[in-house]
Amino acid sequence: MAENKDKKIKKPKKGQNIDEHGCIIIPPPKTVGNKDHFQRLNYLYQLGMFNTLENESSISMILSKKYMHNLDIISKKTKSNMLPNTKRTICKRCKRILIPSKTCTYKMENKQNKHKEMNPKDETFVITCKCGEIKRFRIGLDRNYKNFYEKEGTLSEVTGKKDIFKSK
Amino acid sequence: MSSLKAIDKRIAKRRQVYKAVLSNPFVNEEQIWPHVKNQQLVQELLQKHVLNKVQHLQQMKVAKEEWPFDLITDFNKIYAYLEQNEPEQAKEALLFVCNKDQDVPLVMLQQIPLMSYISSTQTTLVQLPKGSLGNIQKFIDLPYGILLLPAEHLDPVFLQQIHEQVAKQIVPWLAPLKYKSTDVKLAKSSAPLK
Repeated sequence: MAENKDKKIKKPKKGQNIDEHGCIIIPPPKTVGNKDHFQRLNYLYQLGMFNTLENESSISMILSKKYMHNLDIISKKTKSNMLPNTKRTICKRCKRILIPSKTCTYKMENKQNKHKEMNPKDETFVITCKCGEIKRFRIGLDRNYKNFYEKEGTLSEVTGKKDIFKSK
Repeated sequence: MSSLKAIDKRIAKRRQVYKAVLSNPFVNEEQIWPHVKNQQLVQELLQKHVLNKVQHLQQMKVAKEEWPFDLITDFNKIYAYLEQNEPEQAKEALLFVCNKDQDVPLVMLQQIPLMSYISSTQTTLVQLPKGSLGNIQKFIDLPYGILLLPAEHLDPVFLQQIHEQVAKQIVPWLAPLKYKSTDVKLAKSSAPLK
């Protein structure tokens, strides 16, 4: 039995680095697959932003919402992920781009409890969209909270060839 | 002879993987937060022209309503001040933000540059150096790490000195909207070995 166990254990290959958690360290790839999907999403987002900010007519707002709806569907179908701080700028219900005092309002909430006392842990940052959708962030629970993507060392740049469509 | 734990760690169980994620073309913190030439000088100016006066007024037990200048620290009040639409009265304000300090919620911080830029009030966004939150809290309670000073009753010399130190806030995607190239980033993660 002991011999069998020894056989199962894979020894690291030459030149392979293993960190303290037993994880094989691999250098980041130089290129990214499905780049056209990302470019499409990026373009749709910017188009949506343009229609929200530049024109205040109802047609451009409808257009913007349609672009954002497409963006949402494309990202789900193609499994192209977006960073949470990008997704947070889109209303989940009406697909508006959330811009303060234009399409949404901000508020800091802390309701009194039964004893009419304020608990700092109940502090909530509230984003209310024009459509009535409310997003709550319980910032009082952990003021130094960072999501996975915001932590240091998680994100790295793509070192290879850059985007073919460059802004002028 | 090495321990069993050490041997266990030497055996690979997982491998690093990289997932492509689309970053927000508009959330570039270096661009959005205006550059401050000399942050220490700005902090000293704030100390000299505002905080020392506040300390003096508190010692004299003067009610906040009677202070010679306005000072807003509550987020909701700051938002209301920036949101008000009065094009006839061109208002000006200084917004000091302790964006490098602990205990300042990141979700709230991410909204501030856009909030100040969109506002009809002419706002100068000033980022303060690390550790300034503790320094300011010695004089006034700063629950969210942001301090708004309406420029109406402020010393013009202080205002001018702050304007000289802080670069103009440029949000390139808001003024003349330009297409920005796709910013794809790689998220480092791990997956079990098969």
